[in-house]
Amino acid sequence: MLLETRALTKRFGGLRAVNDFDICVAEGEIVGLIGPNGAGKSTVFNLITGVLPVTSGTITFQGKDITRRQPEQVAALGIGRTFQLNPLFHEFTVLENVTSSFQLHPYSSLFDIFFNTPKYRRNEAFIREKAYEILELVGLSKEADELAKNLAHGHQKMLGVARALATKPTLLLLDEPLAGMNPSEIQHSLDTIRGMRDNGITVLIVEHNMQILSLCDRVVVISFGEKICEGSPAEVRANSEVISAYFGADYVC
Amino acid sequence: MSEVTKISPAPEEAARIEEAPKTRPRRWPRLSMVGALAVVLALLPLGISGSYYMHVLILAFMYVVIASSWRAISISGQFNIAIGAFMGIGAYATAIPSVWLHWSPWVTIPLGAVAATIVGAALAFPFARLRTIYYAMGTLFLGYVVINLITAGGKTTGMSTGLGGVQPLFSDRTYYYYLTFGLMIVSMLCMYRFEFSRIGVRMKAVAQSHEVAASVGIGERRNRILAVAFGSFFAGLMGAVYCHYQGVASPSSYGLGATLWIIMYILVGGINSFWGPAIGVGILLIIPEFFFRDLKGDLPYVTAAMLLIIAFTMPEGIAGLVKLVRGRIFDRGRREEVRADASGD
Amino acid sequence: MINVVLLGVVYILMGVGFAFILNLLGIFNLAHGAIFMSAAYGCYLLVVKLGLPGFVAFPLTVLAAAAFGVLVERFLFRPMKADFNRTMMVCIALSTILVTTFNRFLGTRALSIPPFLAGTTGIGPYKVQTDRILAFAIGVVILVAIILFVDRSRWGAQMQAVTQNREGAALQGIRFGRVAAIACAVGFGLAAIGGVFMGSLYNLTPFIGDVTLIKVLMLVILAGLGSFNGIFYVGALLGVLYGALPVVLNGAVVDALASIMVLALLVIRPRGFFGHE
Repeated sequence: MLLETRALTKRFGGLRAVNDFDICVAEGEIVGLIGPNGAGKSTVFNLITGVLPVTSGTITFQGKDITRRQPEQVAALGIGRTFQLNPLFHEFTVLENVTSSFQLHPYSSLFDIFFNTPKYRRNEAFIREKAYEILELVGLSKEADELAKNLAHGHQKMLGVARALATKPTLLLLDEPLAGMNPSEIQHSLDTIRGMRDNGITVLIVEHNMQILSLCDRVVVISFGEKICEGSPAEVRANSEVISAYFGADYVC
Repeated sequence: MSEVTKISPAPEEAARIEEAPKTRPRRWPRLSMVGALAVVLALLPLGISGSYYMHVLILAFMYVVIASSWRAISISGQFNIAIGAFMGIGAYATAIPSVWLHWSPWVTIPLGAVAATIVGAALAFPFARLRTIYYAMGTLFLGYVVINLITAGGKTTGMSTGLGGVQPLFSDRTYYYYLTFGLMIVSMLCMYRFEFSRIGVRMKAVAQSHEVAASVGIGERRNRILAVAFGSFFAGLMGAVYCHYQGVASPSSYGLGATLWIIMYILVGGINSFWGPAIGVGILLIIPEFFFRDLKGDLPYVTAAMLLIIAFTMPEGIAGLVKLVRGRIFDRGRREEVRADASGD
Repeated sequence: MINVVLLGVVYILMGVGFAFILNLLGIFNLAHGAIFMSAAYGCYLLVVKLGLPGFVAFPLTVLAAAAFGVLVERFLFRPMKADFNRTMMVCIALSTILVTTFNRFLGTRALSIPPFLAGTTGIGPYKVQTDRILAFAIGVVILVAIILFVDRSRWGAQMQAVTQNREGAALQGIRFGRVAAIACAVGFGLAAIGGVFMGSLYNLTPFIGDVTLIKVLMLVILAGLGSFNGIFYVGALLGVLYGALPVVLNGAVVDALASIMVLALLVIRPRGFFGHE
């Protein structure tokens, strides 16, 4: 297993936002984590990436326990992520957003950077080249010199993905990549995500837009912080508990 | 944000970036201006040797470094109101061994700078939890604590009257001029590298969003501590030199008032520009002392008036205004090009 | 003893005034100390140079400070659009001008406002100067009035609304400009009251404002930015601290202790003792 959580629990005061939650992601999969608003999907992400401290339970990534790691350490291990809101360095250009996200691959030490050694210059040239490749991949190469804050919403989301890709992730966590997008942008995003998987990146997606189901190998449904169902997209669609969680118990009958 | 990436080539040209640095030419006018200014300042002592003007310039050189070190801290999003205290730590770390142990200033000055760095980095650790206004207030009280500890320090620190009898470095002011001038150039080069390299990019990333920064592996705490350590080194260094130059270390030079004036230099010059602090020192320190010196006690009115004028007319300081004007003149052509491109599509 | 209590009242008056401006305008009024100092000097001038009796000079000073507050809000604060850096420049410029003016015309010599009422009153076994009791009474009355003003009056309700959500309040038809002007008038007026009390208690110098400003910041932070109630408790505490401790300890040591305490609190609990969220 690439990523595995066991009995993951998060309490905010008396409220259990996530309760005894288990999820595992195998290498090369696209896993969907779906559920109604407020179900605790984003909390799970924030726990995995170390943004929120875990109340109890464990998270392992590539066999290493990452339960108490800081967010930047988690990122360094190869877990990239995007954000639902505020996903960018707004004052940087699109290109700078991507180049600034290359921190470890290739790595320049503080000494190299400060004294502008040939190694640092080589790395920077390489990074710029790579950054253009990534922008090409997500379809933003035309906007490279635009300030990130001036981009349209859909483009900002794609830039978030580009930034996450720059960290060379093994596992990519996408937080509602489709929210607020128009249909053509949604199609483009779905294609991009599929393309990333073909490039060997494992993807875990949080979404409440059901269109994401077509993309997933496996889907986990969460409601009120607990896992209520897990299986292939078809199984999940047919599951009555899922339907009641989304539409209310009356709808099932 | 860096100048280098402002204008970037199309993807296919990216590989050739090393051979075809398109952006270099635009930086030449500014660099040659700075160079010319440096040459003038280097030759100036021939004309004004020993005069009051030289004294003002020596102070100005030191304050350029101190104000720039404040800005180096601020690019990581830290509004530090303790820069005076870092100067003070540098000053007392050199003054105490100098006065009581009679150590050579050439040993104690680096000691002062290192002491300021260590204290700065150590204190930055708990402060990395605080952000925005809480950080500003925290550092304000940090500065206050340092000053209070100095005044409560008994005979060792000379209490509120200050510690006199600090050995001078030179007897001739011209040497001080060249020392501070040289230190300023070296320090500014260091700060230029700090800001316009990947280190500066990390700092600016942390300032914009610590969450996003962490998600790409840029640790907030680490970089903020680095920024404070870097800035406090130069502040401590100049605090130490300042105290040998004045022959006395007195707490009033390092208190809240001093810190606020340093911040004023930066705000007047332009907080978003590397040259802002230097411009601010030129405007708020050199101009009043050079041209309005006859006013004596009324001099603060001139400074206050300048502050008001700039607050009202230039939201981003003088450097912001310069940028705006240059943008109007130079970018018109470029913008039209872009528009033509867009319509051609 | 009465000094301790009165000092507490002065700090609370200053702190509440500062908090008014901070909460409603989002401005760190670094000129608060200068206003405090100017009011003390203004009152001194009215009493000593013009020979006005204390009970005329005192309200006159406070009203003048409040009017000045309205002007400052309209012509200095409002054009800055709550930009932190720019308001900071304006506050420093204002404070520089005030300090320089009093420094130029009255010198750095320490002065003192003559007492309003001569004589002493016996409270139990102690003898206390009558004017201090009066000052204390006035201070308490004003603080109660302020609490009632914020809690009960329509303007108070508008202010609370603006503090919570400026845009929402604007949608309800609350004019921000007017609320801001009132806040500044109240803030400056309270600073003036504090200044006059301080001027009659202790000696005056043009630099008294800077020292007081630090105490006010300390108070506002300890209380928690944005908390009104906290200011009352913490102000009383600081009054005790600064009024009583210097008797047993060196003043500089007290300062060092108090500031270390604030620093520790900020690092452990940035929102202060009474801050919400």
